[in-house]
Amino acid sequence: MSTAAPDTFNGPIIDAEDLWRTYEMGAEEIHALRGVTFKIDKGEYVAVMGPSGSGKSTLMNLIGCLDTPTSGTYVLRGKVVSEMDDDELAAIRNREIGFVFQTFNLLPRASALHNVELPLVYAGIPRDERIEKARQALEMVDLGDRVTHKPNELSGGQRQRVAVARALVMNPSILLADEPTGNLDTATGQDIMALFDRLKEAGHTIILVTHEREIADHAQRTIHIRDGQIESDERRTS
Amino acid sequence: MLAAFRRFASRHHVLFGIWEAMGIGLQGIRAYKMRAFLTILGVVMGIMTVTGMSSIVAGLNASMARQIATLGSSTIYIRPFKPGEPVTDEDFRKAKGVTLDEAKLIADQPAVRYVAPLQVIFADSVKYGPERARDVTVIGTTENYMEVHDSFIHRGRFLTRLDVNRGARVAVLGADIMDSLFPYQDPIDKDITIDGRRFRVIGVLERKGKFLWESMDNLLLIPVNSLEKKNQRFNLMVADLLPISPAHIDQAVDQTRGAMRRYRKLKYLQKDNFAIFAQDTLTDIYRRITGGIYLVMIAVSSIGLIVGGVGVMNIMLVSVTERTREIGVRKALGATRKDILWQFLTEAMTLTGAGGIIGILIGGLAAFLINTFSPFPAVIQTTWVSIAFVTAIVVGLTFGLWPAAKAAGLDPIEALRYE
Ligand SMILES: Nc1ncnc2c1ncn2[C@@H]1O[C@H](COP(=O)(O)OP(=O)(O)OP(=O)(O)O)[C@@H](O)[C@H]1O
Ligand SMILES: [Mg+2]
Repeated sequence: MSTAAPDTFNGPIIDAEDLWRTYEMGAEEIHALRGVTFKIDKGEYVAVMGPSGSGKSTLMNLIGCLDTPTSGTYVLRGKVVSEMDDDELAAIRNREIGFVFQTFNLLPRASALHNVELPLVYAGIPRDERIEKARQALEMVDLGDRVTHKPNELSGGQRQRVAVARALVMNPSILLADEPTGNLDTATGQDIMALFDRLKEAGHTIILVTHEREIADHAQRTIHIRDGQIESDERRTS
Repeated sequence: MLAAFRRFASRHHVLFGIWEAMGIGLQGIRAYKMRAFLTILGVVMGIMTVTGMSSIVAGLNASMARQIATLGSSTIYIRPFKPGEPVTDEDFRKAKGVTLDEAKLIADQPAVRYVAPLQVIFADSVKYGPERARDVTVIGTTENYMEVHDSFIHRGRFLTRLDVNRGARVAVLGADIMDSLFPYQDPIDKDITIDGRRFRVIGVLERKGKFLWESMDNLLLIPVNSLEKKNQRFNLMVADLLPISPAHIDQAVDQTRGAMRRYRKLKYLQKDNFAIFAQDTLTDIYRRITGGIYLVMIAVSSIGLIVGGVGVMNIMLVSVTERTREIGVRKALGATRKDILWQFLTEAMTLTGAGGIIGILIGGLAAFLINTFSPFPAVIQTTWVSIAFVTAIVVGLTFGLWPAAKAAGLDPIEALRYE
């Protein structure tokens, strides 16, 4: 089990201040987020909950630097992301963010190993080192014996574990998971949640979107969103 | 070497993407073999045309050069007109054949070694007993013919000065004529008839083979003085000459021209009423013809490449749409616009490059088969093959640009949501 990168940065990993995200639909404006403010510290495990259409995915896209806020400031590990251009955002996504999607989003024609290699490719890491790291990441999610398998030769849970390995291979600051168990049966979902617990133990910072209470209970902090605003932000001290 | 390049390439982001994308491009080709092949068919045809045709033209050029050399490498020709130049009716009227006196005068020029006047007529039939040869070129000439044309005697003897001076009715046969008139006998001292006139065979020339596709052995040589006068009205006499050395070609041409102008009393501003040229003129004319072939080749292959390029653009647009989600994923994992752009450009170039290689292989095979099984020689031209291959890549780059830019510009969130 690898540990998170040694980090000299002391402030909060995420410092979001009054984030707004407005979509223009013709003449109509849709405010998907209306002034969201929160901080997340290193090593936290946070669940984001809320009804459908409340703005959870929009928030995750902002945190993951796939999108920039209409207004407000977003500071990621001391860097002001909300003012970055395309290429800088791509570099941040590559180094700081690990995505896990509900629909896995693996490249169908590539092997598990090659899928996990991808972020290393865009980081410009030499081939031998890439293969080594990708193999290690797959071993960490207990798929050391499935490296050459294509996604359609793997079960749903295995596919999601490949996706987790891919998200972790660059050793990012945050692991973002938008309903990672949404396409899995309960038992397989539990496996993935156990994996997340292990990652939390190892020091990773995790933000996870879910509809299910039991899933959210794995996290130590739950942010509830309703109509684009934070309704509650509770920490459990267990 | 390759390993070093790999190391360099993987340090440098963009270059790395090329290996990546080449692999992905080949995967795409493997996944949709038929579609990919049809798409690049135009490119294949275009490149095939360039490879095949340039090989054939180059082969012809080389064999032309070789065959011109067998004509006698420094032979100079005196003709009524320069070949390949337009001739007006007036030119025709003014043109005068070379006379035997002029031939003697030319032979006296210091840079000239031998002169062979040639009176060419076409005999309808040449007979020996029941055997006959049709449409034979009969050349009235002198004993110098052998030297000037690099010919050799296969059997018997050649014309002598005595034969020529006496206008003896003797003939030397080309190999083809011997084949048709004397399939089973020795021709020496036999009497043949040329359009009804009897000639005695004194020798047979060594076989020269073909010049391009025309036999050079379908001829018959007789002393120039033995020709009937009436024949000389129809065909002007010409002359071929040999300079004292290949280095004296220009001098020989100049001296001969001067001598002929003086003899014909041409004034300073009057044009020559004859033409003198060396072999390089022949080669030039030939080059002009093959230049035309090159133009046709470039036109045909351009059409192929444009059709192929549009096909590639099409398949790439489809591919970008089909793989929208993949593009979103790649962007989420840290791919920049430039990375995506390069990926799709390289895919397009891999497609057309593969088309180029297939085209080169087919064109090369065609050239090989033509060289082996047809009378045309063909030599594969590395220059043209390289140009063709680079062109194929450039076509991929050009026609891949729009689809690649489209892919690079996709919004990652939209792309990830694409069903
Ligand atoms: N590209 C877009 N254009 C216009 N409106 C959008 C766009 N993306 C999201 N929205 C709107 O923003 C609001 C929040 O959407 P979001 O996807 O964040 O919801 P969510 O909380 O993730 O919902 P779910 O639980 O169903 O996934 C919704 O009203 C949605 O219709
Ligand atoms: Mg959502």
